[in-house]
Amino acid sequence: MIFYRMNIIERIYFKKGLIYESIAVLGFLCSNLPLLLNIKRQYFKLKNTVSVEVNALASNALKVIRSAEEAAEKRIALAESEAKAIESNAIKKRDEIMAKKVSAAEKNVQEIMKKAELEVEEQIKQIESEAEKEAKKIAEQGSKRIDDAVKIIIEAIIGG
Amino acid sequence: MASEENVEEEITEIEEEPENERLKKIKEKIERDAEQRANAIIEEAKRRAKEIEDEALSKAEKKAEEILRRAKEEAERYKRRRLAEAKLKAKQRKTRAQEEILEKAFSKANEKLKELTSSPEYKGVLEKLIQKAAIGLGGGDLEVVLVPGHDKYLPDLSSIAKKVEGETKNPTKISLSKEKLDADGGCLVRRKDGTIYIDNSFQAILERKIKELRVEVAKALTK
Repeated sequence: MIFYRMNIIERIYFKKGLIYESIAVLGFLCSNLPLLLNIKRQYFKLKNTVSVEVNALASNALKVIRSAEEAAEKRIALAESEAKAIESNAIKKRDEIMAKKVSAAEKNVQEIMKKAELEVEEQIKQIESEAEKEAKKIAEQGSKRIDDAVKIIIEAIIGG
Repeated sequence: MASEENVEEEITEIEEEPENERLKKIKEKIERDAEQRANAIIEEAKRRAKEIEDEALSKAEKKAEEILRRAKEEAERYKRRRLAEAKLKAKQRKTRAQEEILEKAFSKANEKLKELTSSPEYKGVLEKLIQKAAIGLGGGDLEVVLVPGHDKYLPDLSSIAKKVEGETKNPTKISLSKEKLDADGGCLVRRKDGTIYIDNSFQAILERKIKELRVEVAKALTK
């Protein structure tokens, strides 16, 4: 931006100055001293006038440019602030997303454990019930065959 | 390079215009550039924000998947552990039932043996037990120890001695000891010098045979 601005100012000076410098050179070439002096006077008068004019123009231009730059800086600062807000929101959202997903997963974990508990309780009941049935069956069968067992024991003892 | 040429062209254009117009154009150019820059900053921020959100979503999904995977594994482990405990308890329940019926059988057998000690058959039982013990000792000078009050069932010891002698080819003499046996029934036969004895009391026989008997009785109870 600075390069761009300097370029314009230099060119303004250069173009205006070149015209008056050319007139002065022409006067000298003519070797007409009064004319030359007159031209020189005119030249310096014009130069001063032009210088003031150019300075005013440059000052105005600089003012306008500075103002535009300030506005631009403000715009950019605003954009940067907006960008920060966007990123900050994104970070906040990131944390929210994480918390939401983790919370949902933890809820699922509870459900999984509850389901496992129910399933296993059901299976345990079945196992216990079957074991109880078998225990009863063993007791019933045993009661029926207890006399045979007693005979075996007695035979083993008294038989020597 | 291209941008420098553009700037040159733009400057040339500007120089050919009135001062105010030029300044207006410069101002507009600055504003336009600033607007572009601002837009670029905001676009970059939006892009970055999207990147953050996408990354967060991906990470959160992975974390959630990991939590669920671990929970499933934990649930499986929990089920396996509970089922193993339940199966063990069930097995213990069955074993307890078998033990109960076995104990019942042994207890009933014990009662029967007690009953036997007051029945006429007991004499024959004693004879058999004394004879087996005497043969086991290899005959010789032996004595029999009986339970208090069981002398009345004492079989003919000389007849047993003859049978033992025939079996062991060793001259045998069997007498009744004055000592008494602390048992429910049966007898103890020993050499007179007390060096060797065979305890054929009911309890001693049971203790010797308990392991094989439990297996045999359990088979008989569950066949």
